[in-house]
Amino acid sequence: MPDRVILTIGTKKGVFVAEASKTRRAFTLRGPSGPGVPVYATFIDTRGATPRIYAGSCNPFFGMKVLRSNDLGKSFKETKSAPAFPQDDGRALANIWSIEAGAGKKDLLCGVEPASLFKSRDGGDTWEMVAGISNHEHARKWQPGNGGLCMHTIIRDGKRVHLGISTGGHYLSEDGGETFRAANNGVGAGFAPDPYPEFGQCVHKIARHDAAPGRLYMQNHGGRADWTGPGGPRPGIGVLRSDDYGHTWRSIAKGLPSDFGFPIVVHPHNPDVVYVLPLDPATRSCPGAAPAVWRSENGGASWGRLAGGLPKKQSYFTVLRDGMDMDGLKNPALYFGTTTGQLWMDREGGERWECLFDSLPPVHNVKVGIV
Amino acid sequence: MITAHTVLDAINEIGRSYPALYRNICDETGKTRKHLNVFVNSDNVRDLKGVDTPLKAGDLVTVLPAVSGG
Repeated sequence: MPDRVILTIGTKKGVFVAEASKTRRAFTLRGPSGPGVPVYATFIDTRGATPRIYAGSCNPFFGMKVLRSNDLGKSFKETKSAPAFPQDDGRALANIWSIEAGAGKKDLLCGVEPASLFKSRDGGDTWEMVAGISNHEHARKWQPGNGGLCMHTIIRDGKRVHLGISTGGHYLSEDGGETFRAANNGVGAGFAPDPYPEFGQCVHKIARHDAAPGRLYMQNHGGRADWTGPGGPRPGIGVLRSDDYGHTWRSIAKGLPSDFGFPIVVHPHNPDVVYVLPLDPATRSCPGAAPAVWRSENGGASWGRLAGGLPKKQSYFTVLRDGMDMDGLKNPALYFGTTTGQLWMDREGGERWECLFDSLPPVHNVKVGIV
Repeated sequence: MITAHTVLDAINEIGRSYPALYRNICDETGKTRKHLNVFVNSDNVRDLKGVDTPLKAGDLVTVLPAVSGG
């Protein structure tokens, strides 16, 4: 019987772990581990008898490390190695952006900067590059966005693997990750004359739910409805949905105050319920300085604003692409972390927010697991 | 104590003897990480001949993080 809620909080100054009983009335905080070093990716691995926590520790001085904890974040140790490009490749690892479960019990997948994918079969001690995407014919043409050239989303769905790359777009494998192709039909780009290129889109995050096979939600780089240059305006390209495993995409941004944002999260028990956190595209902070999560209960057909308990004015934070997650309890809670170091939680479907921690370092990543 | 004719020889010797330490100093292309400074005695090797700077008996090679961050 699961009885603990574990939050991993990757920040500019290391990784924190918060723990609560399943009532979520009080969270205790431990950390930072890997202190002073940015963490953009965490993963709570509940597949084995002992839960493990992984964190990508991105040290600008001494290079990238993968940290692993076998005691729910009380201590972390470096794995025996981190992903690394072959010596003759010419690329050098600049950041770790995503860590996810692979197909086998100890398998891990890791998305990095410059955008590439690595696989471990032994819980992170050794790594091999996945050539099908890392050496894809498009790979040397991808361009870094403001956050770098990052592979931030890895979604496994049987033999399908979806990858999100900024800026590269959405790539799909249907052979278990051996080969990939760009799948961006309907995914707009606001920063190139061609509004719908084959690849090169600045995808921010992709989400799916097991109960809705074929459906995907995407937060893309929007905010270009007013563009008057070559190619014309691109309204609604920021929030998208696919119903055919990512082969084609359509806008579901109507009704949102902005189609710009970073995270997108699907309710764990209802694939029609999806959450985004719209941001002003120019400042990447809360529209009107009043933050709100927006929820759709019908797969993106309409949206409602959820701001109870959040500041009503003078709030200028950003929530980054991995800064929002939802637990899997019967009545799930939604969490998001801000670049101003706050961690917010809501237990009522997004309608009553409370600040769990208000003075953390800038938050890059929030993941939640039930152990 | 390392026997080496150049800074690069010294770094490569670290790679053979202390591979975990080497990965902290050099990336996978073999280049010294960009936010680290390497000194021979008191001189930054960027003002000398880089990693090809020759070493003589008794030289002290120091690797330090650059002053940066926030």
